[in-house]
Amino acid sequence: MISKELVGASARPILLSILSRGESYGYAILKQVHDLSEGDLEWKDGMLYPVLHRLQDEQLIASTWRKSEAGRRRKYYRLTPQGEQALVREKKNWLCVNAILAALWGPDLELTPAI
Amino acid sequence: MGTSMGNFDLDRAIKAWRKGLTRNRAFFPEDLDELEGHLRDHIEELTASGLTGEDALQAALRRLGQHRLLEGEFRKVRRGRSKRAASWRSDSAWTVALIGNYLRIATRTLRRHAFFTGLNVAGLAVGLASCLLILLYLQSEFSYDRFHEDGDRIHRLNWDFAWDGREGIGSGTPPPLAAALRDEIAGVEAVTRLYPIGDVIVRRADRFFTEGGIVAVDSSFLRMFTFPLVRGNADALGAPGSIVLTETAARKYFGEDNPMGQPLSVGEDGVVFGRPYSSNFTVTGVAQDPPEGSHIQFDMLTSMPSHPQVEQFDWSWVWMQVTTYARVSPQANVVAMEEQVTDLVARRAPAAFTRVGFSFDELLAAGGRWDFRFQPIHDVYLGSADIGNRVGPTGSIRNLKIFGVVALFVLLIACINAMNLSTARSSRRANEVGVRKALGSARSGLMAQFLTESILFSLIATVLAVALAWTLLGPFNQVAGKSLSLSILATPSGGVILLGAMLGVGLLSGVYPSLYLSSFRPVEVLKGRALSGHRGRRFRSVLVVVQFTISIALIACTLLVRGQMDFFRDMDLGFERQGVMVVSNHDHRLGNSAEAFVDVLMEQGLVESASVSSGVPTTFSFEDYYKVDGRGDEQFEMASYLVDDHFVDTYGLEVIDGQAFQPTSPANRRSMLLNQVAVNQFGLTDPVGKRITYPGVGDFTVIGVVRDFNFRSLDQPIRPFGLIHESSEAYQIPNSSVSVRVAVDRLQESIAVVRAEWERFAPDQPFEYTFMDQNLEAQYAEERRLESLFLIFAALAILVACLGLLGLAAFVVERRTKEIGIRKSLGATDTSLVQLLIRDFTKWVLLANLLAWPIAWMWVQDWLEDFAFRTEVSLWPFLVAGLAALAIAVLTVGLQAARAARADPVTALRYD
Repeated sequence: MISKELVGASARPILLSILSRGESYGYAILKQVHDLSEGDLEWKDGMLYPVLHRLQDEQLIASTWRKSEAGRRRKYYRLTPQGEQALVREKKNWLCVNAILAALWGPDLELTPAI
Repeated sequence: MGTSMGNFDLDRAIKAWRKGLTRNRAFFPEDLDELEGHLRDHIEELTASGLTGEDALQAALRRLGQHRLLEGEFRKVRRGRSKRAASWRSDSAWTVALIGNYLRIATRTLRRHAFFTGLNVAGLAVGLASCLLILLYLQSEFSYDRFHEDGDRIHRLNWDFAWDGREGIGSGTPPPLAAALRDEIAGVEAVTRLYPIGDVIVRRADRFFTEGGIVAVDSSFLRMFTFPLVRGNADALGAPGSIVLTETAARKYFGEDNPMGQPLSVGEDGVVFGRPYSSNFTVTGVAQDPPEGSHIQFDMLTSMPSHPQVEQFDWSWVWMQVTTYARVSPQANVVAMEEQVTDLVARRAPAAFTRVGFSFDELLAAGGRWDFRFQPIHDVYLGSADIGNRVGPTGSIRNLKIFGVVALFVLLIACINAMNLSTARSSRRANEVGVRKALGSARSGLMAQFLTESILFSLIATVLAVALAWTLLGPFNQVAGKSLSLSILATPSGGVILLGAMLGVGLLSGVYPSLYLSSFRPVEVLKGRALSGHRGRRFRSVLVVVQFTISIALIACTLLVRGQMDFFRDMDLGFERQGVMVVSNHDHRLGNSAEAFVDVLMEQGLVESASVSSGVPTTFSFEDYYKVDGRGDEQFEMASYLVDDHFVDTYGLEVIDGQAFQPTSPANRRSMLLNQVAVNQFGLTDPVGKRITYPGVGDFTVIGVVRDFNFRSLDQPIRPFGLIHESSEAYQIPNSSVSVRVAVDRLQESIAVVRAEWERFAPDQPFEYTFMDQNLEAQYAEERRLESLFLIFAALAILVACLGLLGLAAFVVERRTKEIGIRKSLGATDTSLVQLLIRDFTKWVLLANLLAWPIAWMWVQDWLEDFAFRTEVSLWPFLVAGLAALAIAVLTVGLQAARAARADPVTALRYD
């Protein structure tokens, strides 16, 4: 299981990335996350919406109400131009962290502290 | 939808779940829609995989998270959202709700602290009312002459001259100027001239009055200016003998009758400057009374051709007796036009100069100037202190500035009160602030709360101020000599100003307290630590010092102005002014019997002395140039009266050399008395017996010297003056006055005696008299007005400052109740306690004195500049102002202190 803090920190880039592939709605987003992480990344369903709303307040994503195939009203989210820029920044940051960790965990580095 | 299994109703279960969240303010309905959609998607999928509806709902809800968690997350976003105003509708609803709340708490605070509220509001109301009255006054003073349709294009022509060592600017212009401007200066569209007639008697059948407001005007007058006619038309003043009355004048002579075409007699038939003058006029129009805000005032307008003297001088560029106005075209360049006028004068004036025996070229060669300048009529009223106005009033821009500053001062003092009282009460509200902050109030919310309170204060104060101003308007109008009305407040601009003043005062008095109060840190406050309040106390002291500085300066200035006025009143003018009655012999009402009238009066028991003269102090004196024995062709300017044998006696003049006129002595003819200034300026060492030559008339022998006396306003130094015996026939003056010195303690009887004799001598002529002391007093009406207004506003300022001080004192005493109790139980006396409490305030007031004195001193030095005779500025007005302020302050604080000191220490110690 991934820790709560990391779940929280990664929610933003993950949501932006999912929406960068096209608009989507809450339940579908959750399913996608679940499938991609093969169940390792578990979000409390209720937590998703406040995060989406916050992103919307920051004008990184926008929403519209639309009818689903079944006739129910659904709120669809999509990325705004600012959101795309934010995603670029997020990507850079996460790749940076990734590079550091990859370098640190690489085979030619002494990891174990001297005892 | 409606997935239903057994007796489980999914829709109803979801509705129930939703209802549980609806009342929670963290969720908007939209959020619930979204969550419900999510829930239904999830349930749909779960039931598709075989779960019952009930189980699916349970599983989906578990995944969604507990209410509390959910709520917390939504709330976090929620707060950010309201700050960012993403949804303005819910946001403004929130603000409205808050304002309501602020108001509710504000009114509660106001009511709970009724004493402080009262002081605060009373101070602000007085301050605002003063401001309001002064603003009305300023508004009326600044809006003179705005009612003329082409007012922005009408200019008055002023005479700008430098000649023979004198220079100046005046509103008198020569008769030919107007036509020359119209014919020769491009850009001048129309011209008109005014010629004030002076006092004449107007008669209709058996009704007669002396009229001072008759102005002769060119026929273009009614077209250039906007003085609407109620009868007749704009051509009413073309023909000789036409007269237009104001509505008031028409009522005075004709009652409700139609005056049009009616005859009216103005003055007496006669010969003026060699031309016949006919007193027969016909009413050709009725005009509305000129508005109060007009620098041109008149009761009657006559046509210019009715008065031969103006036509007589149509060649003269040196007879400066008419006022000239010009309307210029919208594109006109006035500066360029003035240059053209200079050229015009250079072409036209020299002939006129030659004709009266002077040389225009010499005038120019000697560096002199004989020019005419355009003055926009909007500037005439306030911009003519040195220029004068022959047909109406002039105002004093300096006094307006003084009043404006004083109004702001009073308002400032009131605002300071509000500030002081609010911060002073901070200790009592500190707990409130602490609790509010601990409960999550933001600083901005607290500031809004305090600002709402101060604006509410100023709202109540504004309402009171308007009521107060309304009550005081009558007396104020009397003092200020105006007829102001509050109706301007009902106009949109008036309303905006009032609203602006209200908000301005509210903000001014509320900003500092709100910043100060909202800055308390809750932990310290609730522990009771923030209250030492040194910062606040120092600030309050500064404000009190400012208040008292202003108050003391105002009191001192009032006393100084009064000092100068008293100085005028008590000054030895060099002549007797008490009990001197001046009876008008205007237009020679007494005919040839003036001397007989005087002789008869002299025989009356109540009359000490009586005299006929061509002028009396404060009024007309005849000025011309004279040559002096032994000084060659040099000419000296001298003013003079033609007087009879009794003048010196009647006015109690002191003859210090030679002798006065001897009764019925033939030697009086061609003799004169000089004043000391004349003797000095003429360079006469032994004046008696010397000859003074009036060129073109003849020689006069100096038979004596009188001590200098003030024959004009005390604004001006005494100039060379001569008393010429009337039998000398030195010049002709159409008017004279009979001065009668009567018993001061029996004035009414004396008046009756003089009146009885008048009616015997001139039964069909008006009997009009004044008293010399009143005439002198009237010269300083404006200064008196300044004094009264100063007095009123100084009193208001000190009143408001004391209200503030009372509040502060009450507060300090309240805060130190416990201390007082302890001191008292340890044996302190009442007196020592009062002293202890007064000490602080005394220090402030003394400091204010140090600041106020130089301010008042500098102001009064500047003000006195204008007077030729001025009082010595002594220390006592400053001392009195300072001591008065100190006394009032000590009294105010002392009463509070005494109350506290006398209280039972047990009660005090129980007090919390």
